[in-house]
Amino acid sequence: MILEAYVENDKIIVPNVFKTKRKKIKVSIEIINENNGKDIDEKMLLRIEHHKKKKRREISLNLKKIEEYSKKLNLKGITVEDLINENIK
Amino acid sequence: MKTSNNRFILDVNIILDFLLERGNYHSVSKIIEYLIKNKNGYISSSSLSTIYYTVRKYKKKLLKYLPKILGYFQIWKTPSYIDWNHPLAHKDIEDYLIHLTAESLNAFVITCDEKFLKLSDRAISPEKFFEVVLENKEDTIQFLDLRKQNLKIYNQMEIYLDSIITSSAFVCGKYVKEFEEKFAEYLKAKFCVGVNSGTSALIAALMAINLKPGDEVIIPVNTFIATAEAVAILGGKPIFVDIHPDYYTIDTDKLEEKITKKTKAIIPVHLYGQCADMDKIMKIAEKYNLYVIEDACQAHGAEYKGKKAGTIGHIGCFSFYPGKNLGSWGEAGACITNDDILAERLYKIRNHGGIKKYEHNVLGANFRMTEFQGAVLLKKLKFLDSWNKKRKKLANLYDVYLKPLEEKNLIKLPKRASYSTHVYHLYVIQVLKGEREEFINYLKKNNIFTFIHYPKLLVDTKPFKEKNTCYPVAKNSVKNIVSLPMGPHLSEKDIYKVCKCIYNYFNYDF
Repeated sequence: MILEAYVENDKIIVPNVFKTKRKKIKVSIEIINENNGKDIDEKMLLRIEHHKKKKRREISLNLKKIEEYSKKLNLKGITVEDLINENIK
Repeated sequence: MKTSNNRFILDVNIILDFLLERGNYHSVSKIIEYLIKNKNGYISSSSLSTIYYTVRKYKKKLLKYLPKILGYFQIWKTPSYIDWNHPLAHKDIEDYLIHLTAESLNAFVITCDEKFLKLSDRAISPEKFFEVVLENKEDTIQFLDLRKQNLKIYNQMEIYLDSIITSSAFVCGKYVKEFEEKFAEYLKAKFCVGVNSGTSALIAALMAINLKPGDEVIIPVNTFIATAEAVAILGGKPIFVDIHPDYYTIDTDKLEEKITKKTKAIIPVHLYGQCADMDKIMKIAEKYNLYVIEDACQAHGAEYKGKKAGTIGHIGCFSFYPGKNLGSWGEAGACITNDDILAERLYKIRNHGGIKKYEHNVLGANFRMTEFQGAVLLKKLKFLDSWNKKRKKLANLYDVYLKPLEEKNLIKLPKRASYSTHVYHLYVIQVLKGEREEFINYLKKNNIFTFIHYPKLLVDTKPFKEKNTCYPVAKNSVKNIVSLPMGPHLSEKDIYKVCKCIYNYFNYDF
């Protein structure tokens, strides 16, 4: 037998359609459409959290060395704006 | 640490540092600048969802530009051959997939992730990236570099390759058919019959004109051996003719004297990418009732008086060997004709003598083109004109830079025939002063690689040895010719470097 339940203020409400007077009944719940479309965001958050953690265990860079190498290769750095505006020399 | 061919995959957090202007942004922006300028930056397809989600969360306004920004890199497929025992697969499956992508591409992964650096022999730090780049900056100029071209189109090929594997139709299927239609359309020819090599195309063409043992076929004396082999393999006799002193194609003034009662056909070769004088050849062929089979194996897209090479004679033969202007990823070729009867014979000959299975109406063989090659050629055909345009531009640069050395009689530059365009499959000069080997070795020492096309005349090869030969023009040029680096893999800067090196060799200022 399938009864339609709903969520209200963090409580799962099962309507007493049989108007049963018994004090104890056994109900099993199957959750459909769990997050009302929010599951993508949860996945997203998990991934982002994972990468945040990874970011914390990154090695620190030798900026002086990188600066020296960049000079040898004549690299000044490029920005996101440069790429959007196709400003690449 | 593994070696790589200077290809680099960016780890997710490296890209995010750049996109979100956070963390190591300043260092990363230099790495990105280098990779974009050198077109060797890659992103694993497995990283895309994280990049997308993170940008959506922290910099939503950037989302609409994401395809454009990521378009500066090449997205590379993530392989499915997972090794679950790899230590990185246990620690972080996402990093392992990036590592695996790097394996398939023979690339490095640039990352700041300590664990990634520890567990993957493909992972390098930003500092190491710069060291690798500086170490490999040796300015080698390859004669031919197919990797750049093939990697560039690989992700466009994936859809075709997947489709061939899933359908498992491997021979003369829909891609071969579509390529045949498109190539015929490109050449403005009626029929294109795809075969499995340029040599097969020549053999099939000679079978289609019914070449019999003892028949003679006239060919130029300086060309690739396949032209003569195709004749000889069918029992025919190749009759050699000297070449034009400037264009290296068959000397049409010396052609007629070689015709005998046994002559069945002429095979002019559009050598190096320039057409032979087809009007003269067709006129002679008409006079003696001979077939003309154009060997256009080096002339994809070249034009003779407005007509595409390969469409003027009775049959045109093409090779799609990987290094050709239009090259497959293996072996492939094609026969072109406007003649309905010859076309029907060619379709039968390439498929054991019949169009339908187990129908063997004429003597044929297995000359069929595979679907992989059909698909590759179909995709590459779209680029042929732009690649040829680049070759012409580079050739013009060689001409301008090297002209003063020609005026001093040190070298001879390739000459253009007024009746033909040149697609520069090869850019061949003659070294007139000093030893050619010395010239080649000098360039080689300076990391510039050249070739000789061809080091021997056909009459000096064992299968076609002739005593008392008389080919003065070819005999003279074969001692001096050198093919300089040529192809869409080269830049204008590369041509400048080659020319500068040649000037240095002759002790002249450039």
